Amino acid sequence: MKKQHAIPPMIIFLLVTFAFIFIYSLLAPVLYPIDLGATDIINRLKPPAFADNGSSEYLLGTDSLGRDFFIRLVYGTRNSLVISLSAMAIAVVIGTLLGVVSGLYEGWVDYIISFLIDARLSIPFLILAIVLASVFGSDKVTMILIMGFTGWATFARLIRGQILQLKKQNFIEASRSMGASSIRILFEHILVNISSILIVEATLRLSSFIILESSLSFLGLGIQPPDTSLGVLVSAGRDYMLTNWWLAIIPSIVIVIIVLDVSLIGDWLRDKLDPKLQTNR
Amino acid sequence: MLKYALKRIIKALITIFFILTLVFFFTRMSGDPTNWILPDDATEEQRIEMRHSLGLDRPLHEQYFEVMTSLFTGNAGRSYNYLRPVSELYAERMGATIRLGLISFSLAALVGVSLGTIAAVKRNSFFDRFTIMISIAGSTLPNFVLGILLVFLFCFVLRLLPSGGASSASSYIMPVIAMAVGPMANIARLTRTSLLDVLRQDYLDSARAKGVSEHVVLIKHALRNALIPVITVIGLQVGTLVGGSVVVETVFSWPGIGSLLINGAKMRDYPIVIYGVMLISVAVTVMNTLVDLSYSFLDPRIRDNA
Repeated sequence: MKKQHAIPPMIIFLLVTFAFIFIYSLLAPVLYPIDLGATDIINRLKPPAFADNGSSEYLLGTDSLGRDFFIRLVYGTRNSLVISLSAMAIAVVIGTLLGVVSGLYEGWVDYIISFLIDARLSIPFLILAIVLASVFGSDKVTMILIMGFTGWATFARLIRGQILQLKKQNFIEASRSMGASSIRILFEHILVNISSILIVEATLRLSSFIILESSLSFLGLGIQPPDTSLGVLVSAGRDYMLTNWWLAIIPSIVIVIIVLDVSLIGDWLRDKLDPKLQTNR
Repeated sequence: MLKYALKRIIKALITIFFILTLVFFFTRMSGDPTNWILPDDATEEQRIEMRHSLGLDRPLHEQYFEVMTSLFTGNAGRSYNYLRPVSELYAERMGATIRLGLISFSLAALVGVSLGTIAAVKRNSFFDRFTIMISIAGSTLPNFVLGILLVFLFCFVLRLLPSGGASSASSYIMPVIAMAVGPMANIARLTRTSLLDVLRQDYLDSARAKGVSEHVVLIKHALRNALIPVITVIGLQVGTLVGGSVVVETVFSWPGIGSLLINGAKMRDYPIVIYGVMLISVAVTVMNTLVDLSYSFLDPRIRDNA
């Protein structure tokens, strides 16, 4: 018989890759304690070490202001990941809270929350974030808040559906008839039961938060120079594509790797949770 | 049926009204626009004149009423930067966006459904695995990254296509691909899953037993039922496309409403932002409502439950 609980090697590889990128980029200020704003015009647009005339001094060359591109890439990855993860945490908390409340209390509370979910989903994630960024500006904290407050709706909708289903289950009824309080039922039965589906949804949605952050920064409405993020790097590199293509292409590839990595892990988790899908896919 | 349709339409109207109100008040929260339109050393008189010419000195409820009715009156105020009516600015650029959107949308739906169908019929074949891989990659790749990679490959390496603008037919190729790949991947994936579900049903065997040919079974009996959930997803891709168009238009310097909206947002040109959000939310809400209605039309169980 096939082992049921073994993690496939591919997933282990993806997990290790993500952990490596995440931890390495988190350590950026320790590994490369530099001032992101400091420029060195004399050494501008130096080629990377892999090019014919490159030197090992700058692993990925320098950007248009002479800053070490590899270090900027690490800092950029760090910002993108930290902002996306924090924003997602906020979205999960708001979404779960609203979803639980809306699922537990029927009537007008549910009606209002459901309306808010529909209203929020009727305007694209990115467009709403663009409007909010233009009004409230876009330093890191504001950006996390903006992305968190635009991303909650899918979580709320999912949790609401789960709660509505759970409410009909016998074990909750049984627990209530044995005298369990609502709070106890909420924590012991409901939250425990929705936690796995929440983890899967969060993993699947993490990539859309990363994409949102890098898109906003790419459009110039996110992280502002001299601070950096993957989107900022791609956007800045665009102007030098003819002569120094790696400045735009390497951060693009980093985005692809991270997003694909996270999505594949999310896909695998979902299949694991929902055996029905395994035969289908 | 009529009651259900009416209910959906009223809900859509309330949703649009709610979003616009929210955006209107958000943009008014950020202070006096003359602070960033005029230079710092502008006199108070110049500021008053600017406010007057932009209609910002009128009572708030009048401004609010004007914004809310602007979709029908076309009178949505003047842009702070272009100093022209925003409806005019949008009208000039609408065509380019709609053309790009329609081509991408049709391509995504057509290719997506075809890929999904072939993958489901030839389940576990090489083609199936290939489709799954492509659709995972396609649905996760951010469209600006795809755009940049396309520009690099086709414009700088192969020198086949122009890097931006909308001057010739060949300038459509890259923006259309960049916009269509994501929705196409989602559609292909769902078509495949949905069709696999249907292909297991017994009624297909009874059709075959009656002597119906395999092609007819597939297209008339299986695909028709499998496409019901797919239609919802296709409808939902309109939102994705609209959001994506903003980015793709920026990457390819496409002269559409997406780049207008982005520049408006960057310069805090709020009349442009509000009108853009209104157009987008109306388009997306109308599409979602149509999808809802068509869904209940295709599947009677839903409309009876409503």
